[in-house]
Amino acid sequence: MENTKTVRVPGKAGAYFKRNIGIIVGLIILVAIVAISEPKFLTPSNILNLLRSNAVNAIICCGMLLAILMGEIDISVGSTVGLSGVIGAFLIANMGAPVWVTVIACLAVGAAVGAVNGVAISYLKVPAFVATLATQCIGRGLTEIISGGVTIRIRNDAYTALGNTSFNGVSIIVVYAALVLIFTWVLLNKTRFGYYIYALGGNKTAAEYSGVNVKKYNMLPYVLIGIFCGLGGLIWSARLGSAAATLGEGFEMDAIAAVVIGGTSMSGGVGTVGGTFIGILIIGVITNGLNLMGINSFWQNVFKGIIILVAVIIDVLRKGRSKQ
Amino acid sequence: MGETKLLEMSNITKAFASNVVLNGVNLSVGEGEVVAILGENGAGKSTLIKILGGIYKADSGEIRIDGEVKNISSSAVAGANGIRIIHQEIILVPERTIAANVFLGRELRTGGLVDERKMERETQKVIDDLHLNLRADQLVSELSIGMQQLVEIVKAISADARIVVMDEPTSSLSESEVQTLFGIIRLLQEKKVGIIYISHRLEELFAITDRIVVLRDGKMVGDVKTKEADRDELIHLMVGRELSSYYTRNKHEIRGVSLEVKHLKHEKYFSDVSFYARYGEIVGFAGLVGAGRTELMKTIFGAFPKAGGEVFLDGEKISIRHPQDAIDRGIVYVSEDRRSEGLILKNDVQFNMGLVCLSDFIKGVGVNQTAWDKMVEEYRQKFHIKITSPQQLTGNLSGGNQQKVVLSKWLAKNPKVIILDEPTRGIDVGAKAEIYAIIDDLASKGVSIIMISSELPEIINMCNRCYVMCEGKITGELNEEEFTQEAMMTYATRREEEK
Amino acid sequence: MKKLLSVVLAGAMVLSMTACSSSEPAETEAETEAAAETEAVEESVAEDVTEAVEEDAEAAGGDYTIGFSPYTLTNEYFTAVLDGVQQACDELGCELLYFDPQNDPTQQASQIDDMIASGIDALIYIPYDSAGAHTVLQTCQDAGVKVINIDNVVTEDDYELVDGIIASDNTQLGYLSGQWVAENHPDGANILIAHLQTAESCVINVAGFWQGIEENAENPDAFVEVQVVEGGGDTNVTFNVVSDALQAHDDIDVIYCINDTSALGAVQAVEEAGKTGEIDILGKDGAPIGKHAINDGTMVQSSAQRPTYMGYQGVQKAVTLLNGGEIDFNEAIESYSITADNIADYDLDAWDTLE
Repeated sequence: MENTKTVRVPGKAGAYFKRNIGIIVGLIILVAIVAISEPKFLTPSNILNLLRSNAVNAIICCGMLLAILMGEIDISVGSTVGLSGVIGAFLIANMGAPVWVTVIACLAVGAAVGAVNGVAISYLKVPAFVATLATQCIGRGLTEIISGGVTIRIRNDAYTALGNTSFNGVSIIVVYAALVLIFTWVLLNKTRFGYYIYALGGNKTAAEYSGVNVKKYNMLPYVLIGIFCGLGGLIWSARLGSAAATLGEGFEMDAIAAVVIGGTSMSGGVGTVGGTFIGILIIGVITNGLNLMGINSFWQNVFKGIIILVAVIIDVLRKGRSKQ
Repeated sequence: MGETKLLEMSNITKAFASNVVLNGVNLSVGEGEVVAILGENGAGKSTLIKILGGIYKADSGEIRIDGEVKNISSSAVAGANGIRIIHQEIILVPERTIAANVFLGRELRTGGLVDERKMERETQKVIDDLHLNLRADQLVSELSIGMQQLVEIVKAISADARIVVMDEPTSSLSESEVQTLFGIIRLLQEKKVGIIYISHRLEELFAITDRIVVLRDGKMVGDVKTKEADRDELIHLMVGRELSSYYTRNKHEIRGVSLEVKHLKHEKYFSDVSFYARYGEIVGFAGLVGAGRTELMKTIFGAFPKAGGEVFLDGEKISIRHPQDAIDRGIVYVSEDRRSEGLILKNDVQFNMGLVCLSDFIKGVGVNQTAWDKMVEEYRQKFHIKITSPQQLTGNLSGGNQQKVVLSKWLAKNPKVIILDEPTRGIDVGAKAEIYAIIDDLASKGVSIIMISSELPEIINMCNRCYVMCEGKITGELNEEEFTQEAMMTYATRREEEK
Repeated sequence: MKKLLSVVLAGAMVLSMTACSSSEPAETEAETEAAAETEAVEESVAEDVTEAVEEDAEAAGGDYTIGFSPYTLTNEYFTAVLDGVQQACDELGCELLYFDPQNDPTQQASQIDDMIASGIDALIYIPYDSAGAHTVLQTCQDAGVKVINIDNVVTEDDYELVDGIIASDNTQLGYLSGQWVAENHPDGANILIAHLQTAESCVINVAGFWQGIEENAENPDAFVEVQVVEGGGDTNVTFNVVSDALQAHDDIDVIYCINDTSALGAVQAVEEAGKTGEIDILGKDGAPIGKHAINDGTMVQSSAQRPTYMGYQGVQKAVTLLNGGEIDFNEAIESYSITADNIADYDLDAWDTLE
């Protein structure tokens, strides 16, 4: 009877803290350590900087969360960011396309990659890891072909403004990330689509037998992931005013790390946007904090690895305890 | 008393936090004795078994084997003392042979390398001893669920076993497999193995056990010799109240034909099946495990593809290609396998109950929480579902409560035809009676009910009419007045002579 | 229908997988088939050809096949080297054969084996792993293939296995930037380094940078290294780490980046921090993107590498050797400093020119 643990309850701040207490405490400890060793950490401008640096990761994490909630994974996200970023840069810089065409093209490229993933995984039953490994390869290859291995420079102020505008010091890309997070939260908590994602991640057969169109709802999230990646590529190319063939390399790892730290179960069906948000912050604070302290970036990987391991171990222990 | 028993557990007490699960329980088993533990879910049976198996540690009390006090601190220690526990769930590696499963973790080796032949020989010997129709080199995935359960038993007793605990061993066995199991138990008895047998099926306890121990709310409330026991008395002991009637069955008006199936075929599981069901009627499907009943129903429901044949609803031909087609037309299927096909165990009661008619609560963006809460509360009260909150995970509920959640989920859709596949499997007696009452109530409201069951008494007492299947064909149709166990078994084993 | 679709898609995936795991030979001629045929022929008569050619040494480069193996071909620096190699081959009438090792030393080694098997006479070699080049060089020597080692120099122990070395002077590249800083910040400066610490050449660049300051500043102690950040030579990584460093230190005057690609990230980071014009950003390579940035005024200096010239020289030297001529064993390519003052002299869209 003591097993009243809730996995997902919409709303309610109290429940949110209770559910994510482990990682929230972890985040607070981390912030405290960094703030004490580097006073500049807690300055408003650094906090804005931290949010800005992690905005694209947050957008991609929203996509990764959908994949992992379904008990699957999408490792093509980084290459999709690269592909749409480079195609965007190519269109605007080399073809002289209008900004709105370029924006739509970036998102469409993402959606197309996502659709390939989704069809392969959902309808053709290719395991998600394999399908997205293939599209990762294809995407990266196309990125290199289109860019010709050259960094494409963008000299279009209207386009670069899409990544470089700020409102009272808050960068526009933080706004994008916030919108995507809110969108994903609403999707998962307030729509049937979201409930079906949880259902088919928790038990695909039960969902199918309950009349859920599992093929469709297994496929559509990948399209959404692709669109998020397309947005990521758009933002990066606009922000840097350039796009290189290496854009997005390794993005999938940071995204998986944040989602897993955020308490999402790799076997699917369990996870929240709120938890993921904290996961993103944890990853962000580690990177930003260590950069501020001037600690070699190679150590950042070591710390990230340790924190992922600790987060997962805590999750496993907690599950073990609630099982008795 | 006086003489040394094989196993004596005395004064066992165990509490989780403030919740006392076992309170001074005594259990003894002699050599060659079969002792049943009877009790509702939550009575403490599984905790007692887990203490014996070394998974939990008792807060107080002692365990003696051959009169010697043992500290069973882990499952390895339990194993070393000859204690074997056969769990209700099947824990086998499907894509490995029977022999590989039987010897998993203690593989036989010759010269450092695993000796597959030797393991197969040894396994075959045990299989032959038990007169099972199995080959040691068969893959487990090729076996029916019932046979897999028997492999679990082979696995448990192939090593030197002194005390064998069987937790609901017959829940997925057909009648003939149950007889095979009883044969095995008698063989073990001859070998002076002590057996603890846990089951909800009273008929079985009368058939095979020597003594019945009854637990209720963590206390031992009865310890009777089977020969002297009385069915009603046992139920009374177990639930602490009289069950006025175990089966609820009222006469209902039977109306027109609801579902009609003509010459339905499946590539593998069944051929040329025709039957009909009517509103207000409970139609039974009897047969052995593997007769194709579940597959037939899943095909009607759209979960399996059909190879031919037609399905009619209200006289109109319908095409069902996915479960959602069936659900849209008011045909629902309640799976025999609640845990893997019925519920999303990682999610809460409310989520699971709302899944089928989610569109009633979520239209576009935004959840109508009030309506949803109301629906959950309505079914909680109606079916007496024991939950602490609508947010309790379904994975943590007892079998009976899980089944009630599944039924709520489907009934919220107001189905015309409801297909129940083994609706009371793995559910304790009290909850079973409640499920029967729900079924009866549905029939009285004119719902057409199709019920698959491997428990013949269930069919005899609940159904208006029944079909019997054997090897993918309907071999008999019986009306209420013709219901006898013998008739059903005859049809269930009637194989077609052609070939 | 579904089955068919699945077969097609699976097939396409398999194809693309192999395409991205195994590197495809990138042929210079448009007619790949024709080239493949030539290769096949050459393969069968490889040894005879080599011998025949050596006897025929004084003739032009006509019948030689030159192999080229860089780190990767998805980086514009190496494509610029390839341009030079290609141009020299065209001028001398040599056949050119190259593969893309995709930054993988094991692939590079096996691709060179393949090139030797297809009968190359000389190899223009940029070893990904300079310390691990020994076996590759040994194989070349055994096969009688001349090796011109360019850009990333092999270890001194292996000097005897190569026939010539051409490389940038990494110290000088850094030195020119250091010199610029010393001359333009007479009162000293706080300096942030956006490094690529895993590359030995970059370590030498940075050392050269400080040497340039020390030898040209009146008061070298006024130049302070505020922080070293790891930018990985990549635009968006550098962007993130420089953004963070600008938060930690508000007194940075100069950012020295180990290549123009990463300098581009620093430019954006400085712009975001609202410090455009307050901080001087220096890059390295003289890449088109760097030149554009100098032209736009977002970067102040870049020390030019000359990849095209290096590739061109490599082929020239190889052919000279094959023809029995003599060459300088070790040639350091002179760098030059590109700044706002002289940017008008250069072609913004090309890496370097051949004069």
